[in-house]
Amino acid sequence: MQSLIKNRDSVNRWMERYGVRFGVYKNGVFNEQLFPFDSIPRIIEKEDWKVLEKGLIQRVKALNAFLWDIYHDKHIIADGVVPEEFVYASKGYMPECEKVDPTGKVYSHISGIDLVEGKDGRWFILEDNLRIPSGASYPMIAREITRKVSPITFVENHVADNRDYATILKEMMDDMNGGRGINVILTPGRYNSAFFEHSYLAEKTGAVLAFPGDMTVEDDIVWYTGLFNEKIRVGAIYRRISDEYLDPLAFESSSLLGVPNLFQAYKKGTVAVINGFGNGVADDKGIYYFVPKMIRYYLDEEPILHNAPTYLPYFKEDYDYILENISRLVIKDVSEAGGYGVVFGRDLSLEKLSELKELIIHQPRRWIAQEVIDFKDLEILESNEKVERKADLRAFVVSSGKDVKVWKSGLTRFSRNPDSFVVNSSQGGGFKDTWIMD
Amino acid sequence: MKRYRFTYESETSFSAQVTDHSFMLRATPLDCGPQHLLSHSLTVSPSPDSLSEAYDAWGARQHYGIVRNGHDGFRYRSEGIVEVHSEPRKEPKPSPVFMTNTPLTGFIPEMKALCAEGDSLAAAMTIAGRVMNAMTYLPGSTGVSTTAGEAFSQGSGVCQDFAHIMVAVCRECGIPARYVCGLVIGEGETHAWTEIWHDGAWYGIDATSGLRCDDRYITMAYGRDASDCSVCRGMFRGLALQRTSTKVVVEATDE
Repeated sequence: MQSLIKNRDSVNRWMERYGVRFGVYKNGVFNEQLFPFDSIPRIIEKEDWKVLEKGLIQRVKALNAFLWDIYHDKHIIADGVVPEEFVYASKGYMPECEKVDPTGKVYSHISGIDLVEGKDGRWFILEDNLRIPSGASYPMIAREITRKVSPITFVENHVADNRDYATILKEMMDDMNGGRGINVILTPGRYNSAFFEHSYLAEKTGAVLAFPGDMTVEDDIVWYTGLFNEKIRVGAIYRRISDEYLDPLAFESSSLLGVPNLFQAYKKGTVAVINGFGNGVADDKGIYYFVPKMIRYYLDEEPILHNAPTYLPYFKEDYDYILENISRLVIKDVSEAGGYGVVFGRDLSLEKLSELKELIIHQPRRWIAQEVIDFKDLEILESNEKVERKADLRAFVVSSGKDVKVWKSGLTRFSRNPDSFVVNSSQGGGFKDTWIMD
Repeated sequence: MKRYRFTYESETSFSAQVTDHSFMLRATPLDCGPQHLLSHSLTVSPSPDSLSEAYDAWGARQHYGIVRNGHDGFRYRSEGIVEVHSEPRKEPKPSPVFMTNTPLTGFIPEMKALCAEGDSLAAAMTIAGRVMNAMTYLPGSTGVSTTAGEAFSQGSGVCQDFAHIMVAVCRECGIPARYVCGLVIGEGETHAWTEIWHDGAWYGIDATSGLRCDDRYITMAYGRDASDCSVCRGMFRGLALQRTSTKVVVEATDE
């Protein structure tokens, strides 16, 4: 461990040389930032991991079952488990996906599940990210580099090898592809915040890194235009472009990023789109409340992992509770992501609190409220001094038609600001390696 | 019941050669409910490298494909005979997506004066009359992406804007409503109106005229707003300006 701490700066220097960056748009200006790496790892013991792994697999299975059900027979609505308005009023619900069968019935191939550990060692799910969860490349490359600068660390500690993420991804893509063509990773281009990740994952999985304009659809088949203008059939697309921009002839017509008529090919089932269309209905902050119910409903199992205690103003009892206790709750706007639209009641002036109350009274469906969880703080190095900061963990769960796997690693993000609970990288935090002990 | 011979013709010219031109057309009348498509043909030129068919989320017929080689013009012609009955389109329960406004149909507080209450069909007729009175039909005063709020604030627009405002107000008043794109008798362009759900069926109401729709209205597509009903969309490679002219002819026929 000492060797790792000593080598923190050289790890960060290596990452800078590799171009490990993420881009941030602020006030319309694009800036690339380094993602600061802290060399003290988060350690998860083998026994704890077993529980997490089981719980994550269970959760993602239920979420995929929910997506299939919502876009087909809607049993869960008919049986009164999830109220219809939560489904149809969700921005992520896409009527175009009704009755469309994605390859292998998989919607969320790569799920980024965000968790926090409470002071008492219990884990809570913060949110599910089922559209295009990013971040796996950072712990991948950080581990690769730390193994180089401090090989002794991995001799002395029995840390599960996490260099298999690319293999897990590739096996999933191959399964979804079914030998129909090549695998591609579709990036919006180098001005996207996660461009480093797109190119790195393409390199590691052997997929072709495709840019907008590289693919066309003919007779419901997706073709990649090769270097010599030859047409190469595409069997699976790991897309890093969101649904609304992915096909300008089906969705947002002003999009220059998409593949025209891709949605038609997807509907006909000639290509796997990873992750599938319409997943936003299942990772909506309002739907989150219902995930434990989904697990009981679809799998007939008790949820292994717990949600943070959540209240929906939609229900009368919760509504009263929220208005009563607003000053100590965290309020989230269900339509926002990336750490935006999250406010802590205790940070607001009385005037702001009553404004927020008004908003909740007028649009109860738009908000959820949660108890503030007493996170377990993690140690980080701030100018060579150990200090404690809030941190979360994004676990990556990969689902193919055959199995569901949890990557023995994850992205541990921490807040650099001692007073902040928001650890999202768009909000200027750092990250650590996550050691799963073997 | 009425029978029509219709022709929908569109020609786009490009100022320079374009390639890899993907297109999606939604230019065929519906063949269900009170409407029967007795015959239909569609031609596209230049001859596309692929031409496929599908139905969109609401059942409208789509033709789509790609023209790969360089071309400076793109034409399509959809024609046939359609039979229309003057009865509402039956549906036991409306999809809840037709109860929520979209960015294009956003309700603004200034529209409150258009709201009406009571029996949903009667209320919708009242709203249509108010929309018609509040707005001036003025071609060229709005564009395809003009929202209901923008058109209402300036007090003018075309059938698309009248229909968007109608949809916005109906949904705000709790009446399920959807946007409809189609053809009407005579020569001209596509027309847009609204369907509202009342007691097990969808009733067409034309806010541009303030009247109920009858068997003179041929439906091609419907959806949450105009963007669900685009007649033609395309994407190509090349640096070119484009100009499109559309010609629609609908005549009664005994055939």
